[in-house]
Amino acid sequence: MLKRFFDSDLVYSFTRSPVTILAGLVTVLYFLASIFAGFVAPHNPFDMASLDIMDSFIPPVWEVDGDPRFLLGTDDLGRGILSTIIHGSRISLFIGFSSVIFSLVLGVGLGLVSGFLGGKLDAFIMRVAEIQLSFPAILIALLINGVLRGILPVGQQSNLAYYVLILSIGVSGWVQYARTVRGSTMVERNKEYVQSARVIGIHPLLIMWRHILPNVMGPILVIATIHLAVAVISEATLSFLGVGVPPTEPSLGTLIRIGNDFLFSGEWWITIFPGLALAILVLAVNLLGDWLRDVLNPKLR
Amino acid sequence: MAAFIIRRLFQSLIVMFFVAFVAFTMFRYVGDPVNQMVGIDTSLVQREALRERLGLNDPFIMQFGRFVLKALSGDFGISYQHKRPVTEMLLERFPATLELSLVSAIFSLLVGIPMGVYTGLHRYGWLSRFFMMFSLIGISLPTFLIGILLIFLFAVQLQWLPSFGRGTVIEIGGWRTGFLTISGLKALIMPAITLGLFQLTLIMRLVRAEMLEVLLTDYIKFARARGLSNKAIHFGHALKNTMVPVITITGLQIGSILAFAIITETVFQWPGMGLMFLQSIQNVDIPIMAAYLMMIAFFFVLINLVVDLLYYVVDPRLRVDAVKAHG
Repeated sequence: MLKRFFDSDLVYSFTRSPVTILAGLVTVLYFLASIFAGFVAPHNPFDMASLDIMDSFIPPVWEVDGDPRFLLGTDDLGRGILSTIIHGSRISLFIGFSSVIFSLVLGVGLGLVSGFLGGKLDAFIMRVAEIQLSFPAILIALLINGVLRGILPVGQQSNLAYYVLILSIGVSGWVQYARTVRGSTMVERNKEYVQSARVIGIHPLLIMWRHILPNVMGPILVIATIHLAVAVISEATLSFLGVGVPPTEPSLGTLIRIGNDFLFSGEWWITIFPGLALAILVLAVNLLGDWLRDVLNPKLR
Repeated sequence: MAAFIIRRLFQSLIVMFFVAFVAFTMFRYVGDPVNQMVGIDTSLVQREALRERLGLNDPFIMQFGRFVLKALSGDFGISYQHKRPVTEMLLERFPATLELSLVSAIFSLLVGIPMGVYTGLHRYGWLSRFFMMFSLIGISLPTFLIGILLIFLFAVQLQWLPSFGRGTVIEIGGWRTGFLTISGLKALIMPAITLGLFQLTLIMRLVRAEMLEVLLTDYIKFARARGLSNKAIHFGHALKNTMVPVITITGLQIGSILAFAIITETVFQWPGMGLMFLQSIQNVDIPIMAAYLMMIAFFFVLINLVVDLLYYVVDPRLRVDAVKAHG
């Protein structure tokens, strides 16, 4: 089993591309650092008791006033930038991942139903998809975000911020999954194995789930990888715009927003390092996504 | 031709109707409009009277109809927060956003197309590789981060350009323009680059891909066989044929430029519609959100329509197909 995996085209083309290996390593690093943030980060930035206001605005260690305890300096509350970046990446990746899964489930579900059943429902779903597609995803996410926060009571907003974000980014991204799955479902629908399944009287839902779904999932992996980069950017953008994660437990976008206020007074490290961390993460995921697309489905190019 | 236009118009109307429906539902059911208009000391009886007077007790269809009629005459109600007519506020801020979007679109075209042509012609040159790398970074950097990096470099470190606002504006017949003053033009540079960079990379990659494809076609080979100069082939024949998709994408991107202006305007505190929209989201000011949504939708639909019609004009094959399909 393992040997077959290492013999596959996927692994072969992976080992052939140094850029992809680097991107893969960086991505894995981010994931590990996020999962084990509590162990990896030198400090716990969310533990208010351990923070010392005397430690605020310390520049990175290679500057004149640097402090070896804080490799990349500290922010206005005395939180170490390196620690906040590690914890921030964790939050950014968590929200990004959850949004991708939300979009995937919603999009694949609607695409399957739409392609399998056809008819009026199909026309309706696809028309909605078309309309949504003609607007940029970030605008849709902003709108849903605004509406959700309008519905929620004010006191609950910062507690539910994660869910609001996941829902708004998730809903803004389902269309691509739905269109892809619908297309392949319409092809699969007429194949013999589906017809025989129908003949022996299997419930349509079960046919979709057990028989069609595994055959249409191929391109979904590629879309999901590229979508992860988009979702992380969307989360960062919404947080930067002040409608995302609250500053008490900041994501990368929130960190950039906080640091942006200090850019002019010379404390550049508070915003530039989280910015770089975000850019590197997105670049790595994008490179992986591009590579996956080229290997798995050259036609999508 | 007429059938095509009518069908497209009809589709556009459906889209607008759908968006109006979403905007109205938002308007009506997110928060209570009455609560937003009166103080805490208003009695229940007075509230009910106001509710009746505003027609909030009427059936849904009637309220929706009224909303559409009002929207058609350009009335989107009064902002909860600013207590001013929304349309007036949007119009006031329209010039700032339009000037920014226009300049950034022109910037992305003027830089993106030559870069695309170059990378298409010299596929393996080191400069092409550099451009491609640059474009990947352009896609991976979120808009707001590009803005912050520019501000850090040119406003904080070098202090060449202003970091926020529009500079001095001159008012001509109600249109506040920043084109006519030096500080206005200087203030425009960084926001326009920030907003245009993503479009630039997109256009560059598109032109490159199209050029690569076109250069392989038979008529280019034939042109070479005829002994035409490289210049005539590349620019007279090849580039001309890459323009159809470029027109489409650019047209469609104008819409998303307007949307991404929200982010750029926030970074640079540019006093346009996007900044206002963002503030309305932060304050859950539904009338502004609804009006902005309707307006952006209108732009999108209009641009889509124009692009489709342009397509029809530019590409004769579509006309032939249409005739075949009908004949």
